[in-house]
Amino acid sequence: MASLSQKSGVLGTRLAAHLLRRTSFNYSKQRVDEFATKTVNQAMALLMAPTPPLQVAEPIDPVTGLTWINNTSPPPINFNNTIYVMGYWFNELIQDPTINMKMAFFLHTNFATSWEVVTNSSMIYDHHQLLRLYGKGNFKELTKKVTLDNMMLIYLNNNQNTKTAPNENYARELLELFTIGKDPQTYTEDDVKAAARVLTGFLNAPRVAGQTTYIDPDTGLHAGRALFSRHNTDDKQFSAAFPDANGNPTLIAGATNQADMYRELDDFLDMIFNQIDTARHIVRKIYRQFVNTKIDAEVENDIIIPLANTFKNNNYELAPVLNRLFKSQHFYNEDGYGANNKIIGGMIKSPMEMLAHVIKFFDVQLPDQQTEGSLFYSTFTNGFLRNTFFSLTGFMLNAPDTVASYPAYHQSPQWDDSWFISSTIIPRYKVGAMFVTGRRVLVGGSLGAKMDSVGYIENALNISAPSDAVAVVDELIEYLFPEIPQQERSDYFLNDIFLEGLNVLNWFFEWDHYQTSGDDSDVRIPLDSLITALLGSPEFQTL
Amino acid sequence: MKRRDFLNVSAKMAATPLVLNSIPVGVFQPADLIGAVNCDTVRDRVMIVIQMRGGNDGINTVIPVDQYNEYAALRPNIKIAQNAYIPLDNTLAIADQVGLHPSLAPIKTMYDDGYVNLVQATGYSNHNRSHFKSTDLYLTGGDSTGPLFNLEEGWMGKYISYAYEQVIAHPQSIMQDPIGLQFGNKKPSLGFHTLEQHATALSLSGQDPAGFFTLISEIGQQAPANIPNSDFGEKLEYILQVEKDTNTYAKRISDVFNAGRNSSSVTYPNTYLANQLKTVARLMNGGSKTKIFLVDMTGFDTHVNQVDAANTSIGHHANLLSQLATGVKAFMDDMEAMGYGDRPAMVTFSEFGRTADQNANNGTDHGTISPMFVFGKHIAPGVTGTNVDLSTIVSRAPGGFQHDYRRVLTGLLRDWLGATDNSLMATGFYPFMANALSLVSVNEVADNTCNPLPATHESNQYADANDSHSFSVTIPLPDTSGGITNVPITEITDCDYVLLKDGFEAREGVNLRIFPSVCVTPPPTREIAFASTLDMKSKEQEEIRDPKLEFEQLKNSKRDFSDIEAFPNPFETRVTVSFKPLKDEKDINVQFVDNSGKVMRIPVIHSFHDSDYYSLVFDGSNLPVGIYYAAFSSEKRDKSIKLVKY
Repeated sequence: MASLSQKSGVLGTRLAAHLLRRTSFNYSKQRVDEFATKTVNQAMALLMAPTPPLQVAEPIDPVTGLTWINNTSPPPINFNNTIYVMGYWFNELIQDPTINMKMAFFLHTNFATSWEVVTNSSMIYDHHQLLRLYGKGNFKELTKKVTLDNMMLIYLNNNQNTKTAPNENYARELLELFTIGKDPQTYTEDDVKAAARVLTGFLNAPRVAGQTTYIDPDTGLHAGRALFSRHNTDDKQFSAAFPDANGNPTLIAGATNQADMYRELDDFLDMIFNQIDTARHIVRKIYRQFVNTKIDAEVENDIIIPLANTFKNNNYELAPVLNRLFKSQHFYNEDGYGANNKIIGGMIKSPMEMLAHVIKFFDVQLPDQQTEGSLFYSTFTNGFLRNTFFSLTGFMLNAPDTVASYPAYHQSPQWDDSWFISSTIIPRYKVGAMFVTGRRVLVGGSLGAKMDSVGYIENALNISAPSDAVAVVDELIEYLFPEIPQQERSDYFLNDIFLEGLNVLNWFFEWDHYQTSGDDSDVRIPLDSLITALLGSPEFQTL
Repeated sequence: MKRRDFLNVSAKMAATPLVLNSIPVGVFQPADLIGAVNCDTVRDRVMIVIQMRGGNDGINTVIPVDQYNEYAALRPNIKIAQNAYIPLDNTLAIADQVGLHPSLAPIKTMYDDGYVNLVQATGYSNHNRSHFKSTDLYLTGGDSTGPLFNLEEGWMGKYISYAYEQVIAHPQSIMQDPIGLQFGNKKPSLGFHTLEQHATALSLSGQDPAGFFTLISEIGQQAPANIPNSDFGEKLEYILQVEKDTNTYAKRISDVFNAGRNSSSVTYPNTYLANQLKTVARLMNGGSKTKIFLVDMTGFDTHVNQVDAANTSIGHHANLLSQLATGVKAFMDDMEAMGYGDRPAMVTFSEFGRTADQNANNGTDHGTISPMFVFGKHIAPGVTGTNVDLSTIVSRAPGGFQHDYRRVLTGLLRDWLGATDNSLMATGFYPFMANALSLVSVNEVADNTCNPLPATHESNQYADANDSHSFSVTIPLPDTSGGITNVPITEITDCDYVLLKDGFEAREGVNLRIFPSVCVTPPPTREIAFASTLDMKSKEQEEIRDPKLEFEQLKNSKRDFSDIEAFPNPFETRVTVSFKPLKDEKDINVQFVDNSGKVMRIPVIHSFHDSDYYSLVFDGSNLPVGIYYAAFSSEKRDKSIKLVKY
């Protein structure tokens, strides 16, 4: 049966790779090797380590070389600034070796917003910093912060939700998507209306760099505000779906002044988070994104329900849930769940995971945001990420199509299969070709970064014996594919792709020639085609 | 057999107007078949589904002018001015008259030309106001009631996989194109989703069709040969199947696109929708036979500032409606200019309508019912139903729900594409067959006795009916030990009886029954064949007293009759599988398997020979409800028929 009992022993390469592929965008061989000798306790201590500082404090306008978000005399701001924030955030996501930024991305898929809708780049920046701050933090507290976040207030129109004309958009999604969910749906249409009335009067605040009036002291970030004149002061009656301490339908007292609006909001959130369905809904989302999209009765009973209890009993702290899940036998497929091997390799990579893993695994250096601003922001971010890879793979970072986020995270029954369809095959299979050439390949132009395949395998921490063709192929396969394939598959990559029918000795001499002459042209060609083929294989599509 | 291999077996669908006992024949037949269009014309028809994502504000799209005062009171800042909307049709009763949004002027022109049916107040009972849930419901053919609330398969996928199973993912000369094509939205539509792994439709979203094949052909490399038995293995299988489906159609799509062109006399606006429709027209011009195109619009979630504050006739919602009207008009003009005016019918839908009243932000919130537009040269023009009711408002949404959206879809599938009752049942539209809307001009109603695909006689050489020939047929029957015999047990000769193989003893209760008729000499050498009948209850015998007569009726009622047919299908108790042997086909293996490829233990209760067809009657009364296949394999072919047990 599926079990949350803790896995014993050290992870080994295969399971260390599994853990890191699922829980970090920063996936590298060296990190896998470090984790391979660790127990789950040691490994999770590393993953749950304090959040590293930002790589770059703020995005930098490539035209002027200046920051603008907290700059009291910013350079001119235009639409491109929202794209710059996306590229900036991409880099922050992929550089974090801990679980934090992967969780920040998860939280983004829960509290979805889009920079294509809300176009104030400073608010976009604040919103994502907020998710970063709470990556391993308290989910309930984050829900309150998100409710008062400028970007969200605008995205779901709560800024227009007033006592004279309630706008129920945020209230509806808060219940349906962000917290209690509809599986099963317990609440009523009238609960949505009552929730909307609780939320009347909360709206975005002027977001002025250097002005501290609306900075939330808890986060240090600019936030929205409460306007009592717009607030519905009636008591709000909820349905039996939200019983109070006496088992009666909850009645929330209307606020009597501006400060009391926050009390009323807290009462409302307490009411939602008192429901075990809220914990279960969020735990199911975590499970589907990190473990397996399929939740059968066994998983529901043995994994979801106990984890939800952990979540609720710990007042919605995320850390105990993550620790319990990623230390469990279930996550490592060691609990005897299911007739076949489950979980490991059983998901399809998102475009984000695919790109991050290629860049970090092969140590591709992205341009420096300060000294090569144009290359990073215009060429790489706008030209490659936005206009090429993301648009062709049906994904736009931080700009999902709807408030339910990307279809892979909410659309049953396709789930992650929706990443790999006839219209996304080409860019996904071409990702290796893009990086070894440094070109966008499917459209004209430079990528802005380039993989150095020779430099990668020359590093002894990456490949044990670069002159040994078998070692090169086997070691790449072991870390790039979720499972080591049968010999004939490795032989295909070795003989048909890498050596093109030549003897392994040929590679030995080519490598030797490179070592003595310094001329890498003859070793780069087969290495590039090997990496292109491995990254363009069905196996690499999975994680 | 691995499931995947099995599903790759192509299948010929049996579509038959013989219906179930409980459903009288004729009720679902179009009223007048005299002027019915011929099968080739029906096969050329396409259906274009326009999805308006976000929830279209039906009340500002189609203004209930009989209630203008109520309308104006509910929507003080966003109402369309009385002198701005377009009166659609002053021949209608006053209560039914509507005003079109001023952006819909091209639709008014089409209406006057007889190209439009406006179906009022569509939706479903207890309309769900979640974008995501309601979109899923529309795409799966579901609603808010328990069993239909969480359907996993799309209605388009179910229809296609039933009616076109023979050619799904297996292009043949009779159908080289994917049956469904999705444009615009890069998320694979739930509407085309089926539980089987291969695609019923291809997504062309964001692809340049001209270069599609070149790119696809470049990426091919050797696939892994050993698929592990694990979740990882399942993902690899899925990926390889998508690769295969894409490869299969990529060249065809590029060829068709490159061969086609749009009419020089028509200028499409440069909009998201028009660009998709322009591609559809070009593919059709290039020879595409794709049946269902799903095109996409988005941005209808107008909570805020849906109109321009200074002029309510313009603004965000007006721009969207203009995109719809100009795109559809340009497409229809293009079709006419190409001489393809007879081919398309188009239908719009949105996951819900919006609230009757405006909100404080000059927008509207999630509501329930909304109108659907049906466009086409042979659409019965007019307005179906009457206005929404602004005096009975439920949770801010207007009252006056009139038409379940599936009545629209069922009517179009039946009367435009010629869907049979059985394929409509397989689509899940059984409950709407009796009151499907008649939206096609009476003289253009499709003859649903046409097979959806032309017959394949040119490619198959049938055995000469005058030749003497014999076949062995392997049919799994419970043997004496209760297991399944794996050896051929029967032999069908060109006499119309079944001989049991040597060594096989039909024990009592096996229910193998033979209908000898004309071919009595030479007499069977193995008398046991005749003796082995019959442990049937008298009631059953009554019901199925003459399957040959049923077969004759079936054959006479259909214009096209395939080489493999099954009827009735969907079935409740027994199902007859009839097949016509090909020349030199000696060893036909017939298996009755479930959706996972498992061979079912199912008795054969009759067999007979008639009109060059051999027929086996299976008794499926003990099978669970679900999808089954009768799988044929021989040295000449591999085919299967999907059978639906209900």
